[in-house]
Amino acid sequence: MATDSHRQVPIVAEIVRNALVSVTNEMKIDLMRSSYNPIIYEMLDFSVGLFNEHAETLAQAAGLPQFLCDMPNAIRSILDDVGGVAAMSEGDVYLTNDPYTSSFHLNDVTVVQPVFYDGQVIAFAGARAHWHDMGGKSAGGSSDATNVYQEGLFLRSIKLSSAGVVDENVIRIIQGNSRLPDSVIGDLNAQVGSCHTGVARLRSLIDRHGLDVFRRCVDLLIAQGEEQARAAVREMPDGEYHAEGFVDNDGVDLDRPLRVAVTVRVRGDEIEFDLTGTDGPCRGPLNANRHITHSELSLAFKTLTTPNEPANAGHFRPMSVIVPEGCLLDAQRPSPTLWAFVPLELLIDLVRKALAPAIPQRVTAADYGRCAVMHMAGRSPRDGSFIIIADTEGGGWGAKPFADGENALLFGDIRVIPAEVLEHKYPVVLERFQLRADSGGAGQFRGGLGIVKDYRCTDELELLSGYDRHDCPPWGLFGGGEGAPNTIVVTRADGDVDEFRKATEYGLRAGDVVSFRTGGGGGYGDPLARDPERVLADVVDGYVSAATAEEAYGVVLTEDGRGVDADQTQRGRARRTSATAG
Amino acid sequence: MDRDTSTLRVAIDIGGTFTDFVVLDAQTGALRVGKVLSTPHDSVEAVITGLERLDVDLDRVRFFVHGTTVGLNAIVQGRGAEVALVTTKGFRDALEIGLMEKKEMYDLFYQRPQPLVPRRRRFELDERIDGFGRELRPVDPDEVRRLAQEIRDSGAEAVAVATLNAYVDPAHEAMIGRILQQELGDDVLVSVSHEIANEWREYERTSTTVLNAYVLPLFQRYLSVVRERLAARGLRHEVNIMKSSGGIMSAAAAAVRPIHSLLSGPVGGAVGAQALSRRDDGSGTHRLRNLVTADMGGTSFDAALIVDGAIEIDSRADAHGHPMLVPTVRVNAIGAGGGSIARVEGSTGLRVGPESAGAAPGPVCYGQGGVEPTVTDANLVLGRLDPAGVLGDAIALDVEAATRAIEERIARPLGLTVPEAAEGILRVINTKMALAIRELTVAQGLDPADFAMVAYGGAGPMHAAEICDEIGIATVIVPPAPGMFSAWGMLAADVRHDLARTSIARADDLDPAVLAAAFAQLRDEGRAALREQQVLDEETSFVHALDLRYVGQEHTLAVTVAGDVDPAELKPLFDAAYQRKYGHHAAESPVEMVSFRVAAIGSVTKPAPPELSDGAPAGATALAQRPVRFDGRFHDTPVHRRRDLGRDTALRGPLIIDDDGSTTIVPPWFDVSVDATANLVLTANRGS
Repeated sequence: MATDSHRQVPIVAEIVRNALVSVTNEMKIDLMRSSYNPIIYEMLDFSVGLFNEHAETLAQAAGLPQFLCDMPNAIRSILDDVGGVAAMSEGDVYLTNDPYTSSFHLNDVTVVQPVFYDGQVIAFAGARAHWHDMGGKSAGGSSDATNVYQEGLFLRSIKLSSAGVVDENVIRIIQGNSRLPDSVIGDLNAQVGSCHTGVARLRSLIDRHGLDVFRRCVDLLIAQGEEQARAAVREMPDGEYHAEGFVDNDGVDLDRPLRVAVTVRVRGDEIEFDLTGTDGPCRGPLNANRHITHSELSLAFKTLTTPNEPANAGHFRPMSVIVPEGCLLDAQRPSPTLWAFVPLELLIDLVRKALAPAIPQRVTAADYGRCAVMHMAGRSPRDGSFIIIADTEGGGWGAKPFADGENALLFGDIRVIPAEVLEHKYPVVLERFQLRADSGGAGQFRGGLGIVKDYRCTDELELLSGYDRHDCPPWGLFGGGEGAPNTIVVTRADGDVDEFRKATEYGLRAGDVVSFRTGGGGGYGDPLARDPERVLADVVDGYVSAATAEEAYGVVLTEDGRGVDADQTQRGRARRTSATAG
Repeated sequence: MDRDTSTLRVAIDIGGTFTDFVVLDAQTGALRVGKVLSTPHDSVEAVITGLERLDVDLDRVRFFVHGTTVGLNAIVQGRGAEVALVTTKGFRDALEIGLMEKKEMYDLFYQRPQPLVPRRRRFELDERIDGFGRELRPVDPDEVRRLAQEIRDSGAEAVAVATLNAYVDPAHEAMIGRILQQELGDDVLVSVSHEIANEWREYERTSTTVLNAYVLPLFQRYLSVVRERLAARGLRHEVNIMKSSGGIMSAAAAAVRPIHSLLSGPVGGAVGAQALSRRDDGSGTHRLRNLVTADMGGTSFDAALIVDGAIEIDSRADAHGHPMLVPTVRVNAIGAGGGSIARVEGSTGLRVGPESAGAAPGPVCYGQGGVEPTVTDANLVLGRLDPAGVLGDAIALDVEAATRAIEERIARPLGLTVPEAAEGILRVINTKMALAIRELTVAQGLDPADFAMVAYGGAGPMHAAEICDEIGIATVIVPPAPGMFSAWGMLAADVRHDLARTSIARADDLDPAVLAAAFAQLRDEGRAALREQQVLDEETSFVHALDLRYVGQEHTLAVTVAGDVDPAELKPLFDAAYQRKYGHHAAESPVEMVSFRVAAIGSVTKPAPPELSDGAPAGATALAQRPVRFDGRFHDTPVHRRRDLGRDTALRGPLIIDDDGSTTIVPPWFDVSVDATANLVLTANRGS
């Protein structure tokens, strides 16, 4: 069939746009379904995408939205290391996990395959996935690592395949350094398969339309993305907006909170994120590189500008980022980075906090922190083999300007592991897995609720956790209250109780109960303005206690708890309002 | 029973806008079709009207099947029962917590589907079975009885019971269900998870059970109305209901598990396509085992697959955001239809759909107030639709208005001529439909080029050939009365009962006797379920399948096996299936069984498709001629009337074939013939 003419570009561009999304979906299906690793197959902690020869995003299917704009960073670093596309041949495959040029930590391994057409590199296919164990001093990672060498195997710009032939030396190095060699090699194969799919499909797409038209389409699509994003920024009032918050600690220096600061400058159709004021590096593994920092800001930007469009590089052209040299969010070797996402998730919420006065109808209050991550290592109850439970919990999301925040939600296309699967595979019995009453921040619109998940251990387990957002809990907006903070409570078989957020190699024994409690979202608007009937409904459903209804919302219930005492409520609320005014 | 002289077979497809009727006289082969406006307030009304209009003597009806969206509508509109959920202590929020997915990842205002049971009616019992079936805490019958009172006080009309690990051992759940049913009496219906979906994953199993309970009272009322009103008009045989799996069930079976009917809407066409794929027509023209269905209407496009004569079925589906473990024909549905709206986003971004002008205001050319150009307007401007209206359809179409809308809103902003813009609209929408098909096939490791397409629905035959061009399909089959094909397909459906159990074991230490016994038990249950639906044992057959995976993996692949399969064969069988789907396999990894499944199938006498008599006119004379645009230029294109095309038709495109209520477009690079059973067969005559 004849390829298309230039005149057809506006039409073919839309065809290409749909097709690129479809290709990345295929890559995603491939990766997901052939992976061995529960972090990938249950939690979908991965990202796949297609990029042009300048490593700009053409289309991406995530798993994890945090990786939205980060794979280009990995590709650029590989290009820098190997000497650019000129050094690449058809069938080459590269991998990298350098946590200073892209991604959160060593466990994020990116596989990249150049796409050749007419003998030249015209694009890249990439697949990133979280590998279970990269070696290092503790299984799955360590909350108290003080350098990257303790965190495991470092693979920067490694050539896995040359002209289609896999280098078995690389495979052996990886196998030799992981506690779960089969799992990580299974993941690697799934990623390579996913890239092969992307390459083949992209080539046939180009065959269909011709390389020249394809390139014009891609340029047009990126220009369209930029146009959409600029239009959205133009709607924001010009100005300089600032917010800051704190991470609890770095897991090593436990009494030192870490400041994250952001100033957002809106000028016409451009926006600048300036992180000046953010603390310097930390000893523990909460450092993040400047590239993934930029990527997370891109995510924050996208949620506020073009949330419903499949992303390409154009959607991010209006934004620029200033990261002070050497700060917490400009990690330098050998700083440890396992929990790099903790300050970055805080940063995302801070961007909304900063912009709230400018665009109050387009922001939500703070979320639970998206940092409720844990691993437990032990022995399988079925066959005694070494296993790692890796679970990320959802929590409450910030209230919206017009509705309550969402309860118990993760972030993106990732899922929690079902109790029945956990109990079958791991030496645990779940005592409860339920919503955490009173955890949502009060407000005219209430913050979403976090969860409580209690595991009773039936054998020894070693816990690694990276919980945070406790000392600087999820804030409300415009008078809304704070959400409850994340925390972990261990009740020993003998009754001793211990509470903490971050732990490494924390020993649990049979009979111990470890309770993971995630935070709620912040409230939006004055709780005294909340419709008393909605407060009542929350009490009847057990989302809010009767005591909180009275204290936080000024709603007094009838004696049977089934109705609102309208008089008492009105008088109480009036008194409080005048007290505040006075 | 005396010799039953009733010979009529009736299928009724109740859709949102129209209710379609197909009535076949099995003795004479005479086929009648009809269409009436649906009556959403009381869908039986349209059924009765339609039957009267076709003058169907219900006394002579031997087989009656209908597809209903009563259940799904109740969920979409939130009109289901007040359900109480009973579960294990500590887990009443499983239904609300779900999988915690945030499906729109960039949307700050994302709202997850709300649970169908509010928290105040979710109750817990202090009992517990662990992940290996060991009892940690027994059920206290007194606690259950006290709970029954609470449930009654809560005003619940139906109860769902789903306790943790009931998939390993249902004893607790069964006991709780029994006591509750005794205490609550017959007016509160109890659904118990292991009877509705005996598979692991507490959220999905609970959701399935809740959905069943949610639609149960409403569905039972509906069924009793249908049965009464049809019996009053003389129907002596049982009313059958279309299932989401492509099978049918008796009204009696549906009154217990209505959840199996929820997604049956788009299924009739897939069953019809399966019947086409299995037909031995002797001519060899299109006896094709692999088919993709293309059902395009005004607002949506549904595609399904028939692979090697079998409909592709998933064991899990989603009803309006609520997961359910119910075998369901895998349908990829997208917002693409004749009413899909074309817009320019920003300054250069052409978009077509998913927004639809629907029936009101409809396309610009309908002159009912539509201002945004649609796919139908593009078809009209390009000459593909007759401005005088399709045969049998009196509405004249306003070409000028359609042209103006495309000119102003699409062509000018994009710097194109009107025909270029109109053709662009079609290319975009066709690509979207092609990609929807591609996603279906590729997810299975299948090549679309190995398929033929069956095109039906109001707009399917207009777009089919060009959709096929996009994905390398060479053959399109357009059945007679394509607008009624879904109803026709229902006539070919078998009685079907699906069973599943989760039982995790490595294939290499699976005892052959244990596996055989497990299958035998499911077969017995299946046979019993079919007997209750008047299926004789000799009409019953079974399909066995296992959900397998490599040890360490989570996702499984369903592999069809023989009922007496040797566990030693599972590893090579799975390797081969895995290889087919993913292009690689793990020769050294052991294989694990997760669930086993049996489909009990009671074969129903299939209607023979009406044969075309040899004496039919050859029909090479065109009715009219008009310019129609294909591939960038207008071609002088003959228009034929479908009923003029006889058995020995062999024409070359470009052609337009008008039928009552539908138009088939044959591009210049397709040939068209007519097969023995009156299907149009379009065949590409150039490589794509």
